[in-house]
Amino acid sequence: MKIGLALDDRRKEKRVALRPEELGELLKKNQLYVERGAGLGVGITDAEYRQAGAHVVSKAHAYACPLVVKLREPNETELKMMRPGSTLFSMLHLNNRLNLARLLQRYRINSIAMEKIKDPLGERIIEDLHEVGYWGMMKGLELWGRNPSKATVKIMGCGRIAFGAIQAASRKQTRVILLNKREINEMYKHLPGTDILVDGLTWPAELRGKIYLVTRRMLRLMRPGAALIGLVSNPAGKYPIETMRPTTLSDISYKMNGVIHAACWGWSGLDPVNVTRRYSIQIAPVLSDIVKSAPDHLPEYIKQAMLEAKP
Amino acid sequence: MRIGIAAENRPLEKRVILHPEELKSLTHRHQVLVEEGAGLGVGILDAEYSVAGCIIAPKEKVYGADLVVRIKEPVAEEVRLLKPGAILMSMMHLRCAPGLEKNLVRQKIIAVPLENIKDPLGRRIVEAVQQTGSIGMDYAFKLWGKDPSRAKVKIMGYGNVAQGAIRTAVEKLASVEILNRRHFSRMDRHIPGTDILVDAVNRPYRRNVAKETPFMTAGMLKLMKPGSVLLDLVANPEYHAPIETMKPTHMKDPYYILDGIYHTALWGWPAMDAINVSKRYSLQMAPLVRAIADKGLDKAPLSIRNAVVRLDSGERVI
Repeated sequence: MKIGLALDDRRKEKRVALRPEELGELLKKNQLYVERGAGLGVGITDAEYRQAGAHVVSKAHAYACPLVVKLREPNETELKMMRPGSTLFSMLHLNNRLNLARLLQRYRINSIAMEKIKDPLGERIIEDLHEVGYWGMMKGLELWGRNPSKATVKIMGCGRIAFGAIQAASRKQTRVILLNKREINEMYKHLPGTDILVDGLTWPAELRGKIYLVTRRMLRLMRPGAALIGLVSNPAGKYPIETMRPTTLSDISYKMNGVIHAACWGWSGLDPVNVTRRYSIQIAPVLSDIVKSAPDHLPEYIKQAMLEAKP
Repeated sequence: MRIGIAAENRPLEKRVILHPEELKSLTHRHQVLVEEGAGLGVGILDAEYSVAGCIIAPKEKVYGADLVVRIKEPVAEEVRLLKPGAILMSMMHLRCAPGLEKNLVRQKIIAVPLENIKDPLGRRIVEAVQQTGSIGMDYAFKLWGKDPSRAKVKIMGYGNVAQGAIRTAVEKLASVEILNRRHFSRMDRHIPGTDILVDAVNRPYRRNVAKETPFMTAGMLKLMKPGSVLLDLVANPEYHAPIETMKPTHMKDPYYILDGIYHTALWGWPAMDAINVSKRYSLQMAPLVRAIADKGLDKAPLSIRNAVVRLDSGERVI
């Protein structure tokens, strides 16, 4: 099968879905068409892809393949380059992106959502949740700017992202306190004395923009120079912290009422090389399973992540 | 290939490595022998294995298979039942078990220690590490006996085992603080006011050290309120635990009280939640057993081949 490996939008994303190292198995029976410059953000040259047996081609050519692989969801211009009836394998989060779901239908593109690929225990196979928490916390300590071992860090949430933050903060020997469900509803009690407050909560869509755990007025309870770190992004850009808005890698933080705010969309982009390695190792075997089987005989775990375009 | 599913050693180990639901995909291509009563500890009857296409067999038959699978390592008499050249899949921790290695070498066994099987990112595939933390934490709350949401819990360590404990404590609305290296040297400051102190520190076991320096000394017990709990999740041998007064405990007697403080350090916490952990292992194991049975060990995925110890042809761990 012809597989297209697309370049991610360089302004927001340095990573790439597959490295040359993981292509061996795949290229035995398939051809990979890599968009020119796809790996440059993490230091992989086109020549390295060629050496591994892939073809380096134009954007249009990569998107014309019957199967297109990309880390982040494509935009409309890119979707238009895909052929009707072809398949897109990327992060999709369609529940949060109704417009993308409509476009996929309009252009009759099948899609397999990377975030929905689960192992037999129901755990995501393609993910970098830990890294998101880890790098968000590391950056938070850096933005705070003093000796990390003097910081008191409080963390809301205890999922995989929050654990990345716990690990980073503990490695830096900060004092780490977790806030449970009762405590996050009484933040006025817990903000005094906090140097860095970490939001690792998955904030449900119905609460976004309606309920705030940390209100604007509460900011003055924090120490001057304190930092608020949002680890979990959502497309609405609404967080449990009223004054928080999404930031980017190139413009990572802003100050409001003397308190540092940072909620980067894609924290793990701070370590693109290692995260690319991780993704590539996770993606390659799943991709092998996708191309090995006929479209209507896909393994169950892939079928569950697939959305077919109606003819 | 003939596959033997062995029973664990009762009465204290109730789990079983593979459940009928996961064996179904094996039985149409392979002969699967299940030891009589293997699933009884987690409520699975022999009849359920039969319905899934397995053959119920006595111990000798099961251990005579080409591939023998179980959770914990077999005892000496069981090793003698294995046929030379057979493959054994179980937890082994051969580095800590020279006797087991010697027996397996004598019997010419190809060992596939489950703890050695890692995915391409280096993570164990057959594991219940976070479960260890959460089961232990649950048990500590039970010993403490009061409303968990009133508990002040401090957790030493922040690895995978600690994660399970942290999550359980936060979900039960306890106040949770993580202690790291900087705090360990001044435990006298951090113990007062703590209701449950959890040790989840992964310290390498140093065989040649008679007694490790503890972080929490016997003298510090009096800083805790009577009825407080000390929980050890990592099963340190005696004199090697960061808590000086901690000794490994077993399912028969999971805790003891010293100076009014509960001590618990179960060797194998997952055994306390046999049914769920057993199911987890079964889901993790099925694809591995299928791969070996279908393709043979030499063509099995890299994750399995990397784990193999050819005790039958000269390879040694110690």
